[in-house]
Amino acid sequence: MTNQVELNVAKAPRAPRFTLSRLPATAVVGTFLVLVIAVFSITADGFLTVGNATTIVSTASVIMIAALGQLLVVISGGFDLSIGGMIPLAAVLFSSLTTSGWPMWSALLACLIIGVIVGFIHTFFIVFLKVNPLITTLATLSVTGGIGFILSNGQTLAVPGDAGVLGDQVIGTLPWHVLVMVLLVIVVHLLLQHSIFGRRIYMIGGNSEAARIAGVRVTLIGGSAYVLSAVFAAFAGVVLASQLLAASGAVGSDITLQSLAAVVLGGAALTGGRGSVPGAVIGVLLLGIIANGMTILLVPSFYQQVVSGIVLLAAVTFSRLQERAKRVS
Amino acid sequence: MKKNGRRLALVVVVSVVALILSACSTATASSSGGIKGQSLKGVKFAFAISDSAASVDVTQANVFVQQAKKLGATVHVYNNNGDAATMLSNSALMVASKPNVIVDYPSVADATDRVGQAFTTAGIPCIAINVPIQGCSFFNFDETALADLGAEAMAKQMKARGWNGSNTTVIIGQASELGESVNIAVTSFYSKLSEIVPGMTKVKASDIGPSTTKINSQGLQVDVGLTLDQGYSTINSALQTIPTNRNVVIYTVADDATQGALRAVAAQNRSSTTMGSGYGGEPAAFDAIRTGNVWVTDQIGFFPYWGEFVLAMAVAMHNGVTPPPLTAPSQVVVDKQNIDTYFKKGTADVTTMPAIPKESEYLLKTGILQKFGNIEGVTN
Repeated sequence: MTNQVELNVAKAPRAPRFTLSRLPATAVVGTFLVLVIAVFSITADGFLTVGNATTIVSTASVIMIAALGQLLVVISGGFDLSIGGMIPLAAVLFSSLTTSGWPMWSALLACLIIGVIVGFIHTFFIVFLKVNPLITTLATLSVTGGIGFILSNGQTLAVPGDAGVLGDQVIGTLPWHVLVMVLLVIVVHLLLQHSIFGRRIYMIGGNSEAARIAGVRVTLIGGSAYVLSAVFAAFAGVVLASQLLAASGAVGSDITLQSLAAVVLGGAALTGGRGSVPGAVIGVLLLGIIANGMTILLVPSFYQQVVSGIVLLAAVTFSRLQERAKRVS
Repeated sequence: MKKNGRRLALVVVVSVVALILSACSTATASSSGGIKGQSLKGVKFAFAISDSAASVDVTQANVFVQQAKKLGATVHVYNNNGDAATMLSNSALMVASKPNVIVDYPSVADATDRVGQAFTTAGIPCIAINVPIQGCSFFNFDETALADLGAEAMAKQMKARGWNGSNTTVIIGQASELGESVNIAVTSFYSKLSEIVPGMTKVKASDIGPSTTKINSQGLQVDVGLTLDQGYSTINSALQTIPTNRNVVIYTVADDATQGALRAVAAQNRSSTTMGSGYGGEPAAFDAIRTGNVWVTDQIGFFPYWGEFVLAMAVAMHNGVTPPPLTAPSQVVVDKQNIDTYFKKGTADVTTMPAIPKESEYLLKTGILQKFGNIEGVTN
């Protein structure tokens, strides 16, 4: 009986059926972004203007740069909490060096080198010694954040005006760092989608043991993700210091969670093997636009926190449902 | 049985008389408070720093410790390390060391009730700095008075530029994490400003709650926190709601937040129609006030120098003085005109602090402030 029914169904012309699993990971959150923009455009005076768009993009730029590094690590199956320590450390170092007369590019390079060193430390503990990434990056968050405070002596340091080039305006009120951020987004997207390195990051995030058996150098690829993440965080710190023309041990310390939230919103799985640059971009923009729109609507900050949390929870729940639907289908 | 009852009554009467006498002796001591023979030999203080990671907190404690030791006192220093659990365990250690006076600087308000209970139960006089502790005398900025001075200084600047309620929007930036005891500064600032600036609708400080965002058509309240980046991002968005033909006044409770806010103003090319005011006396604030026209005033409570006021307060309490509900340090609002009166030209180094508020004048009787010689009109 059952066989007969199946046979009949097979004979009938199949109509394309909507299922959750068919949707691309970024489609729903992208649709939600469009919806949010539409709602704010109608309700918030001054939201849909070029000036405000510039404000959103330039405010989100630092988080976007940090999120690119976070994305690489999340796809490879880990996560990097140390971003919240690396950003203030790089900002304070950049400020100290430029104030003491270092040329801007040399100071930038020094900060990126510190990022590489922190990345190697992560690689050693997480990839070689197999220490849990949560514990390792929590420890380096504390160490790098602490060094930031030591270097600044708890004070706010100034960045000389001529060293803050990245924060200077290039087109209208659009600063340089936004252009650099866009370039980095394109480069990381190409790296992930069109290079062997990118495919291998996905492989080790999906199943590192299978990737190892298939000949992927898990140590090298996994370690590279952590090094790139720390370098991106260091660069984000320099951008932040240039944007503010100042730095302190506390600046940007909450970007860790924002970057993690953005990549998860964009469809990345905390279990690894899934995620994309367009998704992360949508995630960062969604969080930025919600914060901006609610400020323009003069929503009290306590409510803003609640709304941001609900949006994140909804996105993660949807992602989980989609995963389950994929498994069933 | 009857005999026992009489004995009990006698004990009760004697105890009550003793209590009354001790209360009277305390009241008598309130009128003095000076150091006997200018020496603190044999006196023991316990001092808990809010967080030793913050250099300004350490400076505060150092000023206290060095002068107390010079006068012969012993000081045990503890570090509350920025968290409630450490503060709670420190309170037990401080009580166990049996000091004459405890000075505690909580970094968070979470443990203050329990800590206050411990001090009160032990019967040790205590001083709470910046965050109130139940049962302890309180030392802090007089937030309302300082904010009023800030509003008066800002009103003067607005008048000089022809700004008034019809052409200016005032943004007050609270730091929601600090609660009402600090954010009363922003609401008081707005309230006072609305009283004295022509064309502004008068608003009471109590009418501006933590969740208030729009204050009639002339003001906004936003959460700029205490950091550079939060000040930057919040003001960046808030400026979108203010037409570019209106002037903007920004007031926050932290210099870092003001610095970030004014960077956002510069990024939107609105510096020429904006004036900002900060809080704290950071070197960046002084540079901006001395050299520019956007950051125009700064509220200062001489935070790194609190050690000397607190030592004077501790000595007064050791000598039996009951302090008023709030003991405040010297306070001033600096602008381009008066900044070099109180700070060495071109630096953030204090030369003289203004006279202490009236309610804190009892500190002068201890002779401690005279030893530092850095307060207007107070010499050794």
